Amino acid sequence: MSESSGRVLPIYMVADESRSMTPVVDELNAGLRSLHDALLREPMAAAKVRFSILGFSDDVIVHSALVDLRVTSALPQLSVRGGTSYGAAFSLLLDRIPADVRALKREGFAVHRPAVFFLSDGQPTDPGDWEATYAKLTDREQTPTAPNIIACGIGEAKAETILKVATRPEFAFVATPGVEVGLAIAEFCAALTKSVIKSGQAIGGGEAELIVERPDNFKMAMDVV
Amino acid sequence: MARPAGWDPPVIGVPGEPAAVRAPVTQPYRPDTVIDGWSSEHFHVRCAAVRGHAHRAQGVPRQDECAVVLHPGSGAVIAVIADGVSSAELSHLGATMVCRTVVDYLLQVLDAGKEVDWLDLMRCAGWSLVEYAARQLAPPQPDASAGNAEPVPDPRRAERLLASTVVVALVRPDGPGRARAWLVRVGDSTGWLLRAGEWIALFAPLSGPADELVPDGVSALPRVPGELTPVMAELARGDVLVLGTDGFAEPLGDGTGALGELFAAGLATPPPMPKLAWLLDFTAGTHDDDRTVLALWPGADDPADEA
Repeated sequence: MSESSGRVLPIYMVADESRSMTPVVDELNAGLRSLHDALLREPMAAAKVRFSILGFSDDVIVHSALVDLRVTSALPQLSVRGGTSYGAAFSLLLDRIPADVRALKREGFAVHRPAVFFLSDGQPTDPGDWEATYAKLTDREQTPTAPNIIACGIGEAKAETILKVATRPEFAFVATPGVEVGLAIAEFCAALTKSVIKSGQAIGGGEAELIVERPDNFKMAMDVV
Repeated sequence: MARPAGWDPPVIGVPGEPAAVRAPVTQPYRPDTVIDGWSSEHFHVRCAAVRGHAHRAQGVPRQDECAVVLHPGSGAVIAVIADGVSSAELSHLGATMVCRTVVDYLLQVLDAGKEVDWLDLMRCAGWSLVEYAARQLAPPQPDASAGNAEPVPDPRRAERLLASTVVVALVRPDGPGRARAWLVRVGDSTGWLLRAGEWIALFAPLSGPADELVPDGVSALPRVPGELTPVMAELARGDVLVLGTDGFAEPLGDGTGALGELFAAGLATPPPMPKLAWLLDFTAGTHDDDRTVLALWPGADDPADEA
């Protein structure tokens, strides 16, 4: 194909479906519905996003493979079951993300680095196991399509764990103790919606260095009018 | 009211999502589209910078800018395009500042009959953003007595507010119907030699076809590479030098598709000025960024070639 079909950003919503999520799963489903509604009102933004919903517990359920939300009538419902295996979630992402990127490229899209929104309300039930899979998933040498992971902890999730999951410290969010968990989920979904709609061109340093001194020959041009 | 069908934008592949055209919320006034063009003893030039469909829908000002200026003494042309980075809040002002600084700098060098120091040119263009941010966009001073103090340059703040890519071409006449162009860039805006309908890229691609993902960010002024070697292109009669921002370059790809054909035909000879802006209003899938094209034809010195 000689012309690109445009740029797309693959987004994976990875939600904890362990039994402890029972009191808040309705809020989470409502948050996803409002995300869908917001995107339908912004078709130009929605056109540049492909969205997948994964629910993890002892295993992972692909509720929705990567889809164009403009042609999706309704998002699937999350439910609850079993424990909290982070390893199962990262293992599935490691499997799906490179394949999804290849498929999008075959369709002629230029693909942005995928984003994973990871939401958990508890500590992993597979400590010591998930870290190796996570390391491989996020190592850009081993996995060129390594995603940015935005991690949100609610309920019993510990800040130190969420910091380990987020690929940058500023991508880690932990609900303030005392804040109602449903409210934290609503805020998380609102932040997710905003990120999805606002994803655009960003500044990246590359090989270039920020100029820090006034060059000798510098003369100010006429001010911008 | 239905628009006359003849002014509907060109459709490349699948049309983009239809969207409103909202007023940009900005000061100073910034028009949706700029068009320019002229002919000199040696050259014809045309350029247009058009707000993309996404910025129109969001009420965001056009962040692309262009400038094309004749140096009367030498007959050389200074051509500049700039693309303000989306995540920089006032990058439309940055793009304009960069174009003006480059033009002023090169006019002075040409007046003095000196060789161009390309790296210094880019450093000055980058620094213009730093000083503009410090002087014109300074944060409120907490201490009123500090009002007269010299503003402190803050390159990081300038980058956050004003970051912009740039491509500069200096084109000198080189005998009847011929010219030599020197080009430099920072960022993902780029240039081509359009020869017999073929788009010949003048800069190495920033990401190869084997790369899995698009680069995470764009490098832009006030960042400047450590080294900078200009690309030289020799133009003959019938050739077109084309500069374009990524809003044009991305959908163009290698130029062998429908957009490449449309523009190769549209730029075969200097088009009427509004026609270039109309061509740039194309709709193509999710390609909804601002788009700028600046084109230069050597050969205005041949009376038979007068457009």
